[in-house]
Amino acid sequence: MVLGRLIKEGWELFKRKKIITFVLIFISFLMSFLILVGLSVFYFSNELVDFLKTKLDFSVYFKDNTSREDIVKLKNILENFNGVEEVVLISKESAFEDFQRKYIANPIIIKSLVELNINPLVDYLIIRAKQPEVYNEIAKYLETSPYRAIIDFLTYSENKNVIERFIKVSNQFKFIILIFLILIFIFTFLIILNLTLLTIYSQKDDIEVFRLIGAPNYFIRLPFVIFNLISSFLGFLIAEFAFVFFLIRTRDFWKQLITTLNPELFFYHNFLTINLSILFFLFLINIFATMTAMSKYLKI
Amino acid sequence: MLVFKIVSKIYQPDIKALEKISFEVKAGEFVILVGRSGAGKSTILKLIRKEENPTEGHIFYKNLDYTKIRGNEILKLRRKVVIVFQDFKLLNDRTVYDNIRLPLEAMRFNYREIRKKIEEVLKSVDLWNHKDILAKFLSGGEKQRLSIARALSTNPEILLADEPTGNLDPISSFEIAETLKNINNQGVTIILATHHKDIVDYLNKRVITIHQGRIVKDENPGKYTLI
Repeated sequence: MVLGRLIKEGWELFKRKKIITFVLIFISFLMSFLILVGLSVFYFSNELVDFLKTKLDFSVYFKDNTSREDIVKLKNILENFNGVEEVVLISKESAFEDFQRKYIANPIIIKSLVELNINPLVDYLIIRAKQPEVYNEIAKYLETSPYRAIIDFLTYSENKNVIERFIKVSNQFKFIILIFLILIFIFTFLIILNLTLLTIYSQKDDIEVFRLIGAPNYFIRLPFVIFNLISSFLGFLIAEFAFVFFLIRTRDFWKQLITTLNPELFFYHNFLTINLSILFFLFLINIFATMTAMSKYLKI
Repeated sequence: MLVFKIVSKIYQPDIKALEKISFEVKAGEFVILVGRSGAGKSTILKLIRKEENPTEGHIFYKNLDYTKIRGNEILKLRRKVVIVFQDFKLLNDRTVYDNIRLPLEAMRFNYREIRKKIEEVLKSVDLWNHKDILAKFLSGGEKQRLSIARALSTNPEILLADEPTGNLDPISSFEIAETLKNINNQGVTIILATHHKDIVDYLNKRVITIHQGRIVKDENPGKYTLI
């Protein structure tokens, strides 16, 4: 019964303090929406890194005079490497055929090959690992193995540098997003704190009356907390709808960017975790800001 | 019932509001505190409600030493020792009914009790027909009667009235005095702070005269003289 009355009083504040209610809803909407956007950026950046990692190919090119027997021996060793999915040997002949097929529409290249009258390509191995980290180990092994002498070059290191640079930038970007979110939390806290002070000030006559009649502290204080929570929850709901609308509208754009990218699916799969976390932070900031305002300016 | 024992109150830095005052109020008594503005009448009322603490001396309510009352006990005391003011202190944007309902809800009365109590106190101050009107639309006399009704709704033992007729015309002032008299006849102890001589004469009760923070006279009914 007491809780019902407190909720009723909180609801009364919600109805009567229109401007403060509007600002509270707006700031809660902004915070929730920005958290959702921030999480999406995290997801997007992780997906992009994973996508780029799948594009990471590891090829071992051999010197021109290397015997096929040595290459097959190395292929067998690499196939037994922990974490290696497959090793494909591409002979210089099949590489040459592929090359010709690829550039059949380019008369300059075809003419050059005819004039050259030899196969300029070499044998090579394509290695596919389950995890990109395995490539590192293979590279280390090849650097020190007796087969080093027959290897011309590895394509891995060049791609690796590009991807590592991207991961570094992506991590820095994530860090900036995190700082941005922390700043949003702090601003939200300060705004809610000041709005609560305004509400307390605008309610000073009522508070005086309640003090006068000896109302318990919680009866004076809790309606402010409930009022803030109602407004914040409404702001959160609006942000939620706005975000879902945004995801639906941009569905095709993400697929065009990377086929595996589906923020909508990610959002629905993690619906409870994401939303409960946002609500938790929003309510935590609200309660903390309201309590701070009351402990400072509503001493009873 | 209520005892002041050599009580002094000094406000910082060195303003002596009360100086070694002693008096006793018996249950069901009607006591009028008179004195000029700043004499210390309101300070006495604040001390009785424990809104202030004495700098020296002791206050007892039903043998309970005020220095030993803490936290929720203070709230309980304030429900038994209620007060009405010159400026009414009403919830002006709420109805007459809500002005009494809210405090009762705050004190966790149940709905049936609340309805019954509101009807009883509003009828006792002749405001039942105004129950749905916003408090801000009442006249001064009606506002003070509503304020008294709210005070009575918690079944108080002592009703303090701090210049309750200060903002009222003479007719309304006498109506309020009459209302206070009726409440006192029902057994509620009343301590009225006023400087309206006509009201004091009309009430014909015990009068304590305060001057510069000291009790200069404590006279029985009908013997009140101006200092």
